[in-house]
Amino acid sequence: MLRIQGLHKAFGKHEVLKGIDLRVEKGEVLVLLGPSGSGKTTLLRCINFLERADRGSLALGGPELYLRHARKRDILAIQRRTAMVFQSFNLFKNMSALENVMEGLVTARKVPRTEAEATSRHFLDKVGLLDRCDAFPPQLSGGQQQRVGIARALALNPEVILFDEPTSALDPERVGEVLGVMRQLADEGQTMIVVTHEMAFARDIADRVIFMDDGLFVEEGRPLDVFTRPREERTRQFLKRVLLEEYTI
Amino acid sequence: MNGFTFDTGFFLHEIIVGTRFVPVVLLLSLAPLLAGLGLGLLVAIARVLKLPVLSQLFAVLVVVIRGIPVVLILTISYLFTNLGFGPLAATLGLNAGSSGISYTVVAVFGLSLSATAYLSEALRSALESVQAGQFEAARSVGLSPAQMFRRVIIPQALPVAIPLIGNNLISLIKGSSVASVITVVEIMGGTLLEATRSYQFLEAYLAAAVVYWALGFATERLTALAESHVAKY
Repeated sequence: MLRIQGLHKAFGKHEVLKGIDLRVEKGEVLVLLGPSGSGKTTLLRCINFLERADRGSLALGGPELYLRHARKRDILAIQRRTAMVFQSFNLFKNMSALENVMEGLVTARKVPRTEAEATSRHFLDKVGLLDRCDAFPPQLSGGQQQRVGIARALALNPEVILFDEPTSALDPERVGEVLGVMRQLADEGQTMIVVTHEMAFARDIADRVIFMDDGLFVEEGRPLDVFTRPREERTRQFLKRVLLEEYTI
Repeated sequence: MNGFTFDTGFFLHEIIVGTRFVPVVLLLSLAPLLAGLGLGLLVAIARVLKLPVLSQLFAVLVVVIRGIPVVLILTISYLFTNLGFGPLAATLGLNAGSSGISYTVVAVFGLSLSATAYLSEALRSALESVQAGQFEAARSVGLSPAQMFRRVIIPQALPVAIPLIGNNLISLIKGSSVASVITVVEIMGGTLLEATRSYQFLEAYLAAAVVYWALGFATERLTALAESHVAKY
């Protein structure tokens, strides 16, 4: 469903992505792992055109698009098929939870208000926050804000949801509620690309994990295979460090 | 001592004279404020979005305009209208002379130019006070740049912008007194005109100061009122 070929991205002289090839199937949950600075987040941002890649092509439910020369109309079409969940939630601070979810529908997609509100309420209910729909972001806990962020993404009916470290900014006791919602989405067949350091989530939920380092895919496979029998030394070192951290708590 | 006396009666009379010129001062400060807000917002948005060419061009213009004293901007505009306008109109084949142009309009033009430069900087800092994540989230739900500013960024920048705009308005009110150098009669000019007859300058200047202070005070109160009516985020 999603196909990326030869994606390169540099910031100035620093090359962050050095030729990424990626296929994601419909309903697949893909987890990107890797040390910070390995290019995971930049890859997500290139898929959603928050960053413009320097080279490479991308196809998502349509013709192949050469990223460097992509035109506004084509970019908009791709953006409409994707939605982003941010590490720092990025809820619109001047809007209530409900308005946050409605905004993309009403303002960008010109969906009638009543219809947009019904859709938005449905997705707030799905993330368990219907009773908080009039609350403004500062009145919500981090976990609640992130669940609103997920509802906002879901309301846009995207083919792929891109999760950029969705639990990294949360208090440890709030991580579970967000992962719970993501687990539910995965069970329902939502296609997801998730950048996370939650190894347990990756192990239990992901159909496939990719280990990235220094702007390239180092190793990929089913989570159990990669976690228990990593082929590459770099993967092994990374897992040793991350898993140690997780289990020494 | 040389028999100094303060003529309270003349002082009060001058306050009334000064008050008569309040409408002129309001024109000379509110028109530039509105022009500055409108044009300054466009300049600020172009610079926040880092639009190629435009943002660099505006950055240079702002530096140039802010680097010239307002009194010079006005006198240059005045001299240009007096000396340069007729020939320019002639070369463009227009049948227009400078005599038809009121110096109040020239003053409003010059003050607006300066106000745009200052307000664009105030509005830019207000827009840049909004977190980068808000811009990204707006784009990620499909808002166009115009929708992003209207729905997300400007509402959040407003509480930061209002005190800055109030400050600029007070500067504009006081700064409008330089219009007197190009013969526009406002509070300064009006009160001085009366004083030259009797050489009672102290009374005249103090009266002018009182009228300006009253306008500044009113602006501060209005700004505070506006601030309390705008939600903070």
